[in-house]
Parts: sequence; C-alpha cells; structure tokens
Amino acid sequence: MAERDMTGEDRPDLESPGLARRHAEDPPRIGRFGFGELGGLGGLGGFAGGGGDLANLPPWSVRDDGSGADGADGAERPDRDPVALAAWRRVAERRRRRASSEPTDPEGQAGSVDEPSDASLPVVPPTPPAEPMSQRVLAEQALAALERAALEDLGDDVPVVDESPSPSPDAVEPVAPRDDDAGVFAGIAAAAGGGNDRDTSTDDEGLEPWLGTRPVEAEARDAQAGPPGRPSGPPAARGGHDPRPGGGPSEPGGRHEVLLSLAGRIDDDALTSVRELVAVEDEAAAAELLGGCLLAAGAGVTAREHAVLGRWFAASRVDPELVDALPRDPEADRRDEHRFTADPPSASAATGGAGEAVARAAARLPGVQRVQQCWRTTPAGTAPGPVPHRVVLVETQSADDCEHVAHHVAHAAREHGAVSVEVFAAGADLPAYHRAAVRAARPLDSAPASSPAPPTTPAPPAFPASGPATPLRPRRPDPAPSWRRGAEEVSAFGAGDEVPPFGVPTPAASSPAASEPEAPADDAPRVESGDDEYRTVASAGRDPLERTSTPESRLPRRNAGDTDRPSPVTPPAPAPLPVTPPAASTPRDDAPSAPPVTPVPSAPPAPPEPAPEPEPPAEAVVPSEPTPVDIDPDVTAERIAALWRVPPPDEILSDQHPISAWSEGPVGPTFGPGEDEPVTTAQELSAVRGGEAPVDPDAATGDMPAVAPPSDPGPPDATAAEGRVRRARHSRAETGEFEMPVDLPPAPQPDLPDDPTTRAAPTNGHRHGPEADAEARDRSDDAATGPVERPEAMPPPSGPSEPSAPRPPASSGPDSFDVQLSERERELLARLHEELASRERLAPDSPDPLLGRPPATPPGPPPGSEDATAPRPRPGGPPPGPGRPGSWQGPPPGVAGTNGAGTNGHGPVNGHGLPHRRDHDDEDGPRA
Amino acid sequence: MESRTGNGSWTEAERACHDVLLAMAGRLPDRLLWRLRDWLSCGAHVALRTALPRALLRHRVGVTEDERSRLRAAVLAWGGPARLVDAVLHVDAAPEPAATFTEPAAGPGWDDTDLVLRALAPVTAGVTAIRRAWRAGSHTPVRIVLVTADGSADRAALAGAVQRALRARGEPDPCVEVLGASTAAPPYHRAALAASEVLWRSSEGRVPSPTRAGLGAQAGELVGHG
Repeated sequence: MAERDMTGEDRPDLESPGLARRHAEDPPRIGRFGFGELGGLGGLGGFAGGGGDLANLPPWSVRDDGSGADGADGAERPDRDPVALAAWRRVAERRRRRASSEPTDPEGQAGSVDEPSDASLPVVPPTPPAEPMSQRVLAEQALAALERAALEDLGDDVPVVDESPSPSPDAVEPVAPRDDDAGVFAGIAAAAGGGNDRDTSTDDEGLEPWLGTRPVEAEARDAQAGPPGRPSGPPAARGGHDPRPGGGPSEPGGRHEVLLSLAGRIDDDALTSVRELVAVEDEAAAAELLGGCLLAAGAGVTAREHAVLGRWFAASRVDPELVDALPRDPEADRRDEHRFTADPPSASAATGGAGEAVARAAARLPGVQRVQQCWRTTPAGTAPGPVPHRVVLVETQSADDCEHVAHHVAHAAREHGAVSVEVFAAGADLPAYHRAAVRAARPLDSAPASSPAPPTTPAPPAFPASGPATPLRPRRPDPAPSWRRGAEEVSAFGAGDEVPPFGVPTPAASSPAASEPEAPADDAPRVESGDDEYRTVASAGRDPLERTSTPESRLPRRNAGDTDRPSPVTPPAPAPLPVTPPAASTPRDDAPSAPPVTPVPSAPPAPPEPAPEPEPPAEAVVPSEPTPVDIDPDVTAERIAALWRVPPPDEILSDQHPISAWSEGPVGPTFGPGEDEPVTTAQELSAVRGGEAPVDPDAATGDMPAVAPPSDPGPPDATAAEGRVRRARHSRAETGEFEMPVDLPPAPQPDLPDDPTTRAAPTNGHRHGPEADAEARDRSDDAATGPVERPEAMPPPSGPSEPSAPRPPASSGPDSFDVQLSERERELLARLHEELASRERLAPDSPDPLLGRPPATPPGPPPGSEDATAPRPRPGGPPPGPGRPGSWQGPPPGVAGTNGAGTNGHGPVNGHGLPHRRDHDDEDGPRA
Repeated sequence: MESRTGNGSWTEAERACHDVLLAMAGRLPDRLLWRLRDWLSCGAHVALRTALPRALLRHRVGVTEDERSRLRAAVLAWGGPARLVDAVLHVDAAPEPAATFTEPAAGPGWDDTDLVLRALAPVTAGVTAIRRAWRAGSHTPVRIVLVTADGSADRAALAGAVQRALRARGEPDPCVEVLGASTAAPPYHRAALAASEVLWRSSEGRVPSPTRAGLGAQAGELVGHG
C-alpha cells in the first residue's frame, strides 16, 4: 500500500517528477512558507498550512495536485531539471495518448505501470548529465528543448518512454540529483539575490538581508558537504521523493536518517516537534528548532549529519552558523549511551493507553511492518522529561514511508504523554540508540495481537507464509486482511501487515467458515492494491479502536463492522459470490441442485481469489470453491441479494433496455458476440486473467479499469459499436448500474435483425454457436455473474469441468491480436468477426453458427429477457438450475441464465450487464 | 544549580534577551517561550539571534520601543540581522494579559513539584523568593512559577535551571518567570503575583507552611516585592 501510495500506482512517475519540481522550487520558498507565505506553493500551501493531518499531505494529496498542476507548471517552468522535464514530458505524452485513444484506460493503466520506469527514460539520462550547480544553464536549455520535444514529439517520445521504463530504479536516480539540485538551486538562488525569491511576506523580506549572506556560505558548505557527490551517491539513495533541502526521506544520508540518528541527543519532545515540522514541510521552523536544540545541548554531529544539516539549513535559509557551531563528533551516532528496558515502569502501566493508541495508529498505516516499544531509562537532551521514557519503534517496509508514518504515529501518541516514536525502514542500518532500543523492545500491541490471533485462524496460514515480520499488529492476523490483500500482498509483506486487517476482516467475518478458503481467492482477484488499501485504511480507524478496547469483543465487532462495511466494500460481496460459483458449477452439472447459488457462482470472479497463487489458483480455486459455496450461499447470498436487490428492478428495466438496444441494431451485433465471447473466453482464461480484471473493479471501485480492458478488445472488431458499448459500461460502472449497460449490449440483437429469429440471448452466444449449451450456461452465468461476477472468478476452475464444451472454443478461440488483449478478448473478437461475417453470409433464417438455434427464438429473446426479468427478481430462482439447461436450448437459456442470476439476486442485474464485461466473462469462463 | 548562575557569565545581551523573553510571557506560546529561555540559559546565542525575532514575526507579536531596543541589543550583539528586529511589529504598550489566574484558595494547592521547588530555592544562589500561581483559561490549570532573584543573579541561567526541574517533574512546557528585584513586572506578572502563593522566601527564617502559603495575604506581599 504504502509503496503504492508513495510511488503512486500509475501516477507515481508523473507525480514524482511533479514533486521534484516543486521541491526544487520549494526550498527557497520554504523559509517564506514558514512565515505563512504560500503564494508560490498554492495548493501545497493549502496542504501544509491547513493540513492538520500530515497523513494526507505528503504522498497522495501533494502528488495528486502536482500531477494535476504539473502539466501547467511544467510548461511554465522548464527551468528545473532535465529530469523533471523528461518526467513532465512523459506525462504530457500519456495524456495525449489518453486523449487521442479511447482505450486510454487500458493504456493509461499500462502506461501507469510503465510510468515509474518512464521517469527513468533514456531520454532523461542524456539531459540529466546537466548537474545542478554549474550546469544549471545547460539544464535549463535541455529542459526547454525537452519541453518542446515533448509538446511536439509526443508520439516519438512514447517509444522512448517505454524503453526507459524498464529501468524503473533509474527514475529514482534522476530525482535524487534533483534533491541535490534543489538544495543547490536554493542556495544559488539565495546567493543570486532572490532571483527566485518570491518572498512576499514581510517576514521574509526582513529575513532576506540576513539571508543574503547565507547563500555564499551555503555554497561553501555544499562544497564541503560534498555537493558534487550529491548527484551520484546520495541521489540514488534519496529515492527521488523529496528533493527537499534535507534530501529525500529515504536518502541514506537524508534528513530522516539524520533525525533518526539524533534521537537521544536532544530532548525527546524537541525531536518530535522537529519531525512534525518536517512532515508539515515547515522546513525553516524545523531547522531552527533543531539547530537551537543541538546548540543548546552541545550535541556533537557526525560529518554526514553535518552535511545533511548544512544543506537543509541552507535551503531553508536558516542561519548557517547554527550548523557550523555544532561540535563535530564522528562517534556521535555510535555511542551506546542509553539504556532501554522492555518492562514498563509500574507507574506507566497505568498509561497503557498510549501503547494501544500508537499501535492503532500504526496499524492504520499501509507501510508499517511492525511496532515495538521499550522504555528508555536514561535522559536525553539538556532538559529531559521524566524517565523512564516510552519509545515506540515502528518498522516500515520502505524508507519512503518513514516520514509520514512517523508523523501519524507521533500525532497519535502526543495525546498520551511523552512518547518518542522512532520510525525506520526494515533492514535499515540503525544508529546505536535504535539498535539498543530494538534489542530491548517488545511488540507493542499485546492486546490487539491476542485478539487478532483468534480471528486470524483462517488467516494465520496466509500470514505465516507471507511474512513472519508482522508480530506487532494484531490486525494483520485478521482474516479480513488476508482476503483483500490476496496472494500478492500477502506474499510481499508476509502476513498482511497493514491495511488488510481492517477492510478484510469484515468479509471474513461475514462468512467465517468460508472465509478461509474463499478469502484468499477472492481477495487476490479483487485486491486492487490501491483501492483495497485505501479502503482498508479508511475503514481501519474504527477497527483499531474496537480492537484496542477489547480484543475479543473487538474482533466480533470488526466482523460485524465488516459485515456492515462490506456493503461499501461491495468487493467483499464477491466472497460470497465465489462460493456460489462452485455451487453454480455443481448446479450446472446438477443443474437443478442449486439454482440460486449457481447464478452467483457464475458471476463471482473466483479466479481472482486464487491470486495469491496465480497459477495454482485455478486448481486451488476449484477445491476452495465448493467450500465457499456451501458457506457463502447462506450468508453471502442474502447479503448479495440485499445489495443487488435494488438493482434488479433496474435490471428488469435493463432487460427492457436491451430490447430497445436491439432495436438500435448497429451496436447490438458487436455486443452479442462480445458477450458470448467473453463467456467462452472467460471460461478458460477467466481462471487466469478473469480474476484479475473483474475482481474488484466491478463490485467496488475498479469498475472502470475492469471495463476498460474489455473495451479494448472489442474495438478491433467493431470499434464504433464497441465504443458505444464501452461507454455504456463505463457509465454503468460509474453509476453502479452495470446491468443496464450490459443489457444494452444486447444491442447486438440488432444483429438479430439479421438473425431476427435468433434470440437476443443467442446473439450473445454467437461465438459458441455450436456450443449453444455452453452459451446458455455462460449466459446464465453472465446474468448471475453480474452481481456475483467476481466470486464467479472462483468458479471458473470448477466451471471448466462442466463447461468443457465451451472451453474448447475458448481455447481454440485464442487468437493473439494484441498482446495487451487478453486471450479471451482476442478469441471473442475473432469469433465476433466470424459471426458477423457468417451472419451476413447466412440468411436471416439460418441459425447463427455460434448461437446455434437462436433464430427461431428471436422473438423469444425479448420475451426471454422479460421472463428472465421476472425470474430475476426471484433471488431463489429455482430456474437457475433448470434454467441453464433450458437456456441452452434457446431463449429460455438466456432467461434461465437470468433467472439463475435472479436467484442469486445479483444475477439479474449482473446478468444483463455482466455478459459484456470481461469480468463477467472471466466469471463465466471459470465456471464454464 | 547551573554553573552559569554566577554573575560572570551574565552579559548585557543576555540580560536584554532575558528581559524580552520575560516580557513575552503570555504573548508567545509557552512551548516556544520555554525553549527560547532554555537556549538562552545554555548560551545558544547563535540560535536565539534569529529564532527570537522570527518567533515574534511568526506569531505577529508586537513589541514596545523599549522591548525592541532590548531585542536589538541582544540580536546585534550576537551577530544577528537587524532587519529581522526591525520587521517585528510595534505596539505602544505591553498588552494586558489575556490569561487569568486562579486565586490561591481556589487552586489545586500544593503538590510534589511545589515541594521540590521549595527544597531547591534555599540552596540556589540569587533566589530570594519562589511563588507559584495557577493560570486559568486552558483545559487544565497551568503552573506559573515566579522566581524573585537579587541583582547579582544570572536570571537567564536560573530560569533555565528551574525549567529543567519542572520538566523533570513532568511539565513539558514549564512556565518559569524569573524577575529581578529592581525590574518592574509586566502586567502579566503583576497579575500572576497577585494570585500566587509563596513557596519559599528568603526573608523568612524558615519555609512557610503550606497552609500559610495559601493565604492571600502573602500574595499581596509578593506583589509588592515584584
């Protein structure tokens, strides 16, 4: 999460450049900023100034703004770094691409993925050579050239960008130079006499004269500190985050590291205040406070610390003598002067709330890996507070998370008295102070840990496998986290450390028994790293509190909360769905057995769930599915039904819509095949991919993304029609009415005109024509999938057994048009083309090869749809089971399918919209 | 207490700075003020020469001409920028304290910290009296320690020492006002003295009992002293 957040998924690259620029610019402003002049910063100022919550400030908000403003800013200011220009240029290119091509979504996604790497574009390297200090002019020229090129040569640049992306790490490097540059520039600017100076505040003006002298000193320092070295060494380490004066937080010699190493040398509260000011980006105030405290304490600093402080202070326009006056002590960070104990003092025991509060705050944060605490029994600084002093040690996944995590946790701890929060990245080389503290520290949230353990029963397996390191957080153990995180998260972090606990738990809670098997599968697919994390984070707040209050009680609460939350989280609903899918699969075999369930299963993107185990998932899914089905049907079915019931009516309407859509003709044809195709393709491919795309997007937020991919494949065949379809999908996704748009796809029925007799449903099944049964199944699934979609992803594996017939087509179907396009999509497209061609060739009377019998039913489709609608409302729709078999034959199948969906409750709604979507396809695919 | 309590280290610049910081009581945040006073007691002049005027600028605190002259003397003596001092806003007279002080009888009464101060005062050079008042207006009453020192005392160092004692006692932002025997107390301190209790006074042969200290009569005496 944190990583994503920090880097940003798609935007990280774009954003990072933006940040770099800002930062580069910021340094001079910072001093002013401290005085309250936000003019230059604009949006940033708002954040920093108004942002009481640092949490929002650093990564997301700032970046977002930056990304938004980057374009304009970049155009306005080409002056910064060539690297920044390159980044900006990339962004511009991407935007153009998006604007130019509708499939932008997919592109954007892909681009986003690449973007980070893009930052490191080869183009950049050439320009980057211009180094901050002396090469500034060159850099400006290069920037100007880059901007021109970017504006003019978007297309050309694209390939370059693609190339560069591969070396994602490079992006960091360029940034790092910036940091240095930023500092340098700041110093230069100051020296230059404020050419850059925008100080508007009186305060700044007052400071200017004084500041005027600094620049020179700053430069001198730079020389000493090794400004020259900056570009090479530090930059990479800096991680490119903050070009700020002090260097990026992640920078080895960066500001955060220095502030970390100063622990125990100045007052704890002073250090906390400094870190807070840094988090708020009040660089000048932070530097002043730190310098004064160091000077007052007579604390020695190492050469590295001195260098970092010198740059920081110079960039912040803080008296350089403040740093120079500090005594040098090469061993300052190596002295083991402090003693720690794991046992809290008796008196402090009463203040146990602080530990829980901190643990809660940490658990809420994405990047936190573990939280420990100990008690320092020795005083720190010249005016120390009482001892023993509580020290909370927070270990983050990456250095980039340190600053904002420190701020959040410290803020949470502030209310609970004197607590020092030391945040460092896992595996980082720690100062003696922290090494000693870690040795004595113990996991912080005893209560939470205990509480989580029980609920985690399901999750435990996942966590242990994923990561051992998350002992501190009880939340992690929560089954819920395991859910959403999916294989990826779990594997990466180990036991879903941060976020998962909150969001995830709810689903698990909803279906405890099923949760275990299902959770993993569902989670994986649905887990959209970004979305899930955010959700979990957002929801986390409540959970932690509950936990803290009473672990056991909390746990149940969480579960309850989860159940409640699930509604917002809609994705969780998929969990039940997945369960249903298996049922569906079984029902298909035993069509009548579990009609209601079947619909759901069909829809659920069970496949994604296997995500934890990408390949195995299919298999794993199959076994897991049955269990989930059993479990889910009861609990989840109701939930899902409740969720979807509202839509069903709409769906009914949608059914009507489809009819109207059919009348529209042109679009219809494309759709019909598309729907059918997805089904077949989904069967096979769904297991692999289906889970991914469909997973969450549809249910929760990912709708757009999920939709986007399908749209891409569609276009090739009938771009215009598809375009319409896509729009419909998007609109649906956005509005939440998936089905409606999906139904519209029935528009393909316009094809019906060609095959008037062919039922609307058949139109959908074009591709499988021969495999009418499969189609019918698929359709039913689709209908069901609408709601269940994701869960169905799970079924796909199971589906394969039954849908074997449909599968073959899918397997055969895969024609690789575009690498990007999923195999399913490709197959679908190919089939669509074939179908269209065949239709044109064949007389309207002749049944569609793919659909098979549809022609006779043409009238049926509308009725069928209607019928379907009728049954749809019926969640329990016994029809599903029978419906499917029936559906095979003709319009009934479609109806049956819808009915099946209706049984699920979700089905009806989904049934209409789902078929078109890939997600549905995926779902169908697995089942099939 | 502190090695610097002697007269030797007490410079005009420090005296001026201490007076300015004393006058800022109730006008600058406690957290900032105690820190600046701590720096002064530690001789962190390089930090103070910019931090103090900047603090006034940031908080939009105006100073009287007398205060400005003292501020200028301190800042210039330490090599600070005069423009910073000039940029500080102006007020014709020190504002009346916005804070109110709880009458001794209505206050929390004596506590461990009071006892610690009373124990230290007799052995601290230059201290002639220590009083304590409770400032109201915030969530919880804020302890205001009023130390009266003779002319020879290094009031800045004395303030720093008492502050640290209070910090060690768990007061994160100690409010210690060290008044000179000859200096006129600002309005804020006059109000505090009027509502204070005497913890210890050199003129008395022995430490007054807590019960007596709570009497308002003593407060009057203290005020006169201030």
